[in-house]
Amino acid sequence: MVNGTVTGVLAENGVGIAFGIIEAIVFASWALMFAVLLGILVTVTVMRRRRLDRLAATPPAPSADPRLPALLAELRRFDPRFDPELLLEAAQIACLVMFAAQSTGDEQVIRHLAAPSFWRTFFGRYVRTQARDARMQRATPKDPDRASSRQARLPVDYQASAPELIGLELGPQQRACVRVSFYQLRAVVAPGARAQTAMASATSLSSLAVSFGAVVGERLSEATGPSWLSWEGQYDLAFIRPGGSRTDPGATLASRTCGTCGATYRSELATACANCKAPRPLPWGEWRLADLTPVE
Amino acid sequence: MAAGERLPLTDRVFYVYSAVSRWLFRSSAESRAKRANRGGTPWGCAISLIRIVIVLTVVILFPVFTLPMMLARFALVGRKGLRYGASVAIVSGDEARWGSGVLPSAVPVAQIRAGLAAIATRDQGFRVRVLTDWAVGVTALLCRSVVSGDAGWARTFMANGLYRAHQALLELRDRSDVTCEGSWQAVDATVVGASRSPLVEEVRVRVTCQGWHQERHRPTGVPLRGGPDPGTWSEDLTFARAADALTPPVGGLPASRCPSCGAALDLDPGGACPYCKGIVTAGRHDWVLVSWQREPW
Repeated sequence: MVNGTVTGVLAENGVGIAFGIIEAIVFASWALMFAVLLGILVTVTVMRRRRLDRLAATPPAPSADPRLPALLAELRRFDPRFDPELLLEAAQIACLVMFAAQSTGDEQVIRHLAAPSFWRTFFGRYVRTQARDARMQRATPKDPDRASSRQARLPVDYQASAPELIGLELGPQQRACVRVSFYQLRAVVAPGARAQTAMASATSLSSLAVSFGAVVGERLSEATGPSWLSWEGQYDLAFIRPGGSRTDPGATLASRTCGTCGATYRSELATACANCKAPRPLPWGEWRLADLTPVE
Repeated sequence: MAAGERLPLTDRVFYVYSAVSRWLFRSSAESRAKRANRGGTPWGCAISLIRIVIVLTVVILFPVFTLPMMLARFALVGRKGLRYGASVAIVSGDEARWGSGVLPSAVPVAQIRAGLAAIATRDQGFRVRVLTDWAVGVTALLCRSVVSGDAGWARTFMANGLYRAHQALLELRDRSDVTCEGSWQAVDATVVGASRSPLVEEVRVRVTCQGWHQERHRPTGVPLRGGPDPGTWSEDLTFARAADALTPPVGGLPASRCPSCGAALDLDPGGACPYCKGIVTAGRHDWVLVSWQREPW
């Protein structure tokens, strides 16, 4: 009898302690989450303000390197078939395939265009994370009953200004810098999409809290409607290739028709021949995307 | 998700939580619908109460499952991520829908005149009117290309880089079941920018379009942009060519002629003329469209 009572009290205490620990963990997690979000928001807001002040005080980013014609002439002495147009083409495609990776989760094409070092840069990591998230969303079952709960990220629009070659470095590794302004628009179709996209770009703690509440509300009410995410800006894309590389005059043609079996590549996003699986060469030869830097 | 792809532990924890919460929200919505159809019973009310408690628990536990992923991703991007976060313009909602992709303002008239004069001084055959008329024709072909989802309509005037990007975008939209219907035409074309650099000459033409266009997500039927009502909007077409290119004697691409050999224009997908084998859409011989921007619609 006494033993039973002691066990009951101990069990009650044990449950109480367990609940107490869980409560403490939950409370600490909420507190830490808000502290982290607040810290990030304050830091980003301060940085944005400093950036705007800096932009107001300084002239616009310098355009093309004045030494560019001379550097191009020097490069053409070693590589007479070098064509800057191919680099501009590479820049257009690189921006679009980053958009593709973020929308559909297909990283294969950007992996084909990028140098391994790209994945160690901020934008490399950002694109990889976004692509993984898109693949996870796509992996949700396609049962029609669940169609409304599936989040579709749709690549709707991509527009870019005319790219401009602004710099060239010759040496053991050649480096070319292309400036391009682009705008990407994605639609998100899912319950709670409006609030989710608002959460993704919240600029204050209150707007973050409001959008989190709205996500829960919209999910419960199954309200499906498109919401929008856009990424716009001017960026410098750095392309690298080993020093001493030469432009292959047949590369442009080889990027259209498989050199092994002669089949025509049907998809612009194909990285290998659908017929014989041979890897597809790039029209710009050995140039690979190494980095992306926002233009201040 | 690719087979065998390994996710970080923090992401796996979050995705499990996310799947459970999605299932809960979905089943609570379904049970609400059933209750509405059948009328409430005491047993049904008890189940609903339990569901509400579970849903609330899931909401309360949100940071426990989300925070590890958040901290792991923050550690991944680091301080540089914050610095870039301050300068990368990622926006959402109506601001993204209507505020981004706004066309740049026209440059001052004096600057346009100076740019056009610099081009005309070097190339006596250059005529602005030819470019603006071509812009009207190009708009009609762009409409066909976007509505049919076939990039081929744009092959004769787009620079190779823009053509590849256009083709890839149409392919991406098709894979994601985004469709476009519509019919529009250019009713006016004006030069809003002209410049010449040591490497390239550029002329930006703004066309005023009239008509209608509508985009939908095919499986859900959700309308994305536009509608069946007619409207008016602007598009910027930027044409460029190499700084040493001259207007071809037979008129070149605007006259549907190969700028290299003068034959009637019939290009392969790589932009090469079947007669002279020259790649004529690289901008080395003649004007080509290097950028196409539409104002938000």
